[in-house]
Amino acid sequence: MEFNSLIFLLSFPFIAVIYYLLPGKWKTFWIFAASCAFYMCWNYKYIFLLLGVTSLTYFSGILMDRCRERKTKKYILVFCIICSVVILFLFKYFDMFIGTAAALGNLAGLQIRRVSLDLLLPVGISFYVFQTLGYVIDVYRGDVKAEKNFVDYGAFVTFFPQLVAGPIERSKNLLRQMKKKHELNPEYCVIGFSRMLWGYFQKVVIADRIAVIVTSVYDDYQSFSGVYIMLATVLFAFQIYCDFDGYTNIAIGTAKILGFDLMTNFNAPYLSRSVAGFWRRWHISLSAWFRDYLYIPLGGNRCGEAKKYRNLLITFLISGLWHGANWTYVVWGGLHGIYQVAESFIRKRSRKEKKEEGAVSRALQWLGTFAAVDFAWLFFRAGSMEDACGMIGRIFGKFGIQDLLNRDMAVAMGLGISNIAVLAVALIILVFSDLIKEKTDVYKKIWEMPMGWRWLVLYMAIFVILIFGYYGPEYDAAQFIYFQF
Amino acid sequence: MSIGKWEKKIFIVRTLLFFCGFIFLFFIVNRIFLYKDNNFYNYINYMQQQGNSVDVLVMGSSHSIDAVDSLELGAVLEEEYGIRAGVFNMSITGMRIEQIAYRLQEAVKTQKPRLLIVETFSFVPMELSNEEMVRRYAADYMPLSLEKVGYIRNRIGEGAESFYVPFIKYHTRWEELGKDDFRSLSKKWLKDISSPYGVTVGAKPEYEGERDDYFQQDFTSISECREISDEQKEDVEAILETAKKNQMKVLFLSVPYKKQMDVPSTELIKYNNYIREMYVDDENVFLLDMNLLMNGLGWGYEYMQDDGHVNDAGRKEVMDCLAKYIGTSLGEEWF
Repeated sequence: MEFNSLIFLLSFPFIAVIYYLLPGKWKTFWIFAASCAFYMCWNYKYIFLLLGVTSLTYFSGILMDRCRERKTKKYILVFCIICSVVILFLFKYFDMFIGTAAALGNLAGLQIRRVSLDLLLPVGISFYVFQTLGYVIDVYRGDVKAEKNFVDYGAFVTFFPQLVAGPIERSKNLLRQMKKKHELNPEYCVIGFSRMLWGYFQKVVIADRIAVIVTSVYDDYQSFSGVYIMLATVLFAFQIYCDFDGYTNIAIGTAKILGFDLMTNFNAPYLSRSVAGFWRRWHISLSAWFRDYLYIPLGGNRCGEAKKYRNLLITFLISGLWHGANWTYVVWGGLHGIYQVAESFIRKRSRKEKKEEGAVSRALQWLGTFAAVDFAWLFFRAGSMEDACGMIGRIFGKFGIQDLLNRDMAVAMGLGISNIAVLAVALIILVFSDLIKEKTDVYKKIWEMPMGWRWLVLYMAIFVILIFGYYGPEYDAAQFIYFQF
Repeated sequence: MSIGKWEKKIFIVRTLLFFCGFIFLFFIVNRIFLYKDNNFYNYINYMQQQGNSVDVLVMGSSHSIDAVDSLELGAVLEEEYGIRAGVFNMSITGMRIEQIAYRLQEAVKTQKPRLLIVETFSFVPMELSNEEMVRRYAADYMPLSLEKVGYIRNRIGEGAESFYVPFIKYHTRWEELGKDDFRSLSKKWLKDISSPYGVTVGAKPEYEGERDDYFQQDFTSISECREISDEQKEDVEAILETAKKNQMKVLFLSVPYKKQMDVPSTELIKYNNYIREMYVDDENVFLLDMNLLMNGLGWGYEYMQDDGHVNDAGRKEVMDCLAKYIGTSLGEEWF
């Protein structure tokens, strides 16, 4: 079930009303049941996988809690991690690695038959596997007590607002909230609803509209000059931000209406002036997960320069792989690792020289960061390494700035002038929102408004989303215009 | 932070009011954001006619849009046959018999016509690439009623929700929005709309010099019947039932043409033969197949704007013929 589906929009109010009508002890059970139903809407069979991972980590936590010996605890932890990683590998990476091994074998002259499991990727598997792994590691470290109540733990793992796309919650935050008494709170409801609306705006007005351009260009890049590929890549940066942040905002808003506080996942990432800064603002829950459970255990930055760089590269390569089973994601992660190593060098040098940073310098830093991040997005979005290299070749070899005036190419991007105008205005609103978000809590401000004004703002937001949203090409209006009978 | 029971109740009431406000606004927006073209104006115009002012109601496809001018037919009937009748042509582009059946149920709510003219090209089954649009012409402007719900439930499968709320589909039309799209359906505006259909005078250049041999053939020898589908039979029966209830006579009409969407007039004649055999009783249900009269009328390309539709001259011929049929065949006591 997707957040922008009619079934979600109709079922969420029902879930929320029942949730608040139920007595305290049944509330968590209701959340657990609703979350399982939410997940089963995609593929009911995979609920067993989700419940399997939940049970594995639940019992591992309890066993670790009962063990007094550190060594036994470690065995349990290692067993749990191996099981989780094997599940993830089988469902997500097996085909990729076998395919690569077969290709390499064929290059070396060996006849390797390619085996494929052809398993349907379970939605959100990377998210819930990481969330549960975080929990067992926390229990092992003694940071949290093992959860005894399976329903509470199950609700924590499957909590439907964040089940399929995060934020990857920590047990310290979300599991604790499962035990709290959640009463209907008007402030939470208004703030949550406002946040959901902003999420929908990002998703259906901006991201889905940009998707038309990006898909047109990336699917047929040979027909476009480098300038269009570059433009599409810049737009993709906004598409993925609005898509992901939009989804997160809907998730956070949904949870808020139910009385839960989920962690912030994005904080105006494109305003960063360094790649390290970008990662402090982009997909914060994942960055924090990698920092706490991979980078620091590897030694972090306290084991000498060379090892710090190694740790950075390992962390980002694995982070790239986490995003998808394709070498393009690994390259994307690797590029971010290299950026951070390079930045670290430069920062060290500039600290020695103790240079003052002027406005121009800051602007250049911002531009450089955006360009670097955006260049990496090209690999993230490309269908294959071959496509990515082909597109880079066109950007540097056949830029064709004059083609900006080529009407055929502009039309082939898929959006007409009205849609581009809507997109431009929406992007301005997005940038403006990111700028003011740093200074004020807009959602809180909406709650504090007099009721009449608040309703006006909310109604306007709803109708802007309904009217200006991009809802797919199935409605071919041209049929109306050119129809002759 | 917890709040009192009273505050909770107030919040719940306010939330419900907010939701009601949303529903109200949504329906207003839904009335504004509709595809507004001539086919819709035509229907709205009908709904705003003075009660019981329509005596002859014409329904059909583009064939009857081009062939029947309401005012002109009224004038001919009065001048030539002394019949004073208000005529309204409610044909829409691509209208199918299912839509005629449905629209008729809506139409008789505000008017009591004495004659219903059903143009029979609406029987011809064909692969419509834009079938959805044809269905929208029939349903989108209808006020929510049991008939509308019945039509949507029976005839529209997937995506039926957008027929209840057209705005769901409409709002993707950013490419061709004009200022009219943002106007509500005020009466004043509707009055400003002049005759919705353009009339083509003379043959189109590409038809000049075309041979008229096709029209000069004698089609009366075609006796074969082409059976209509079971669904269409239900539609015809529904039309006849509605007509009977409202004491309306029904005239099935075919306008002369050569070929339309790969369907030659010889094919339509076969459908008409079936209609004649099954439904026509020459008392309450009549049929005028002008394709059988083309030879006698000296039909040719000078009466056509293309292979399928009549032009201005053709329209005059059709209306003379139609008025004559109404004036002489339906019986004097009728008007």
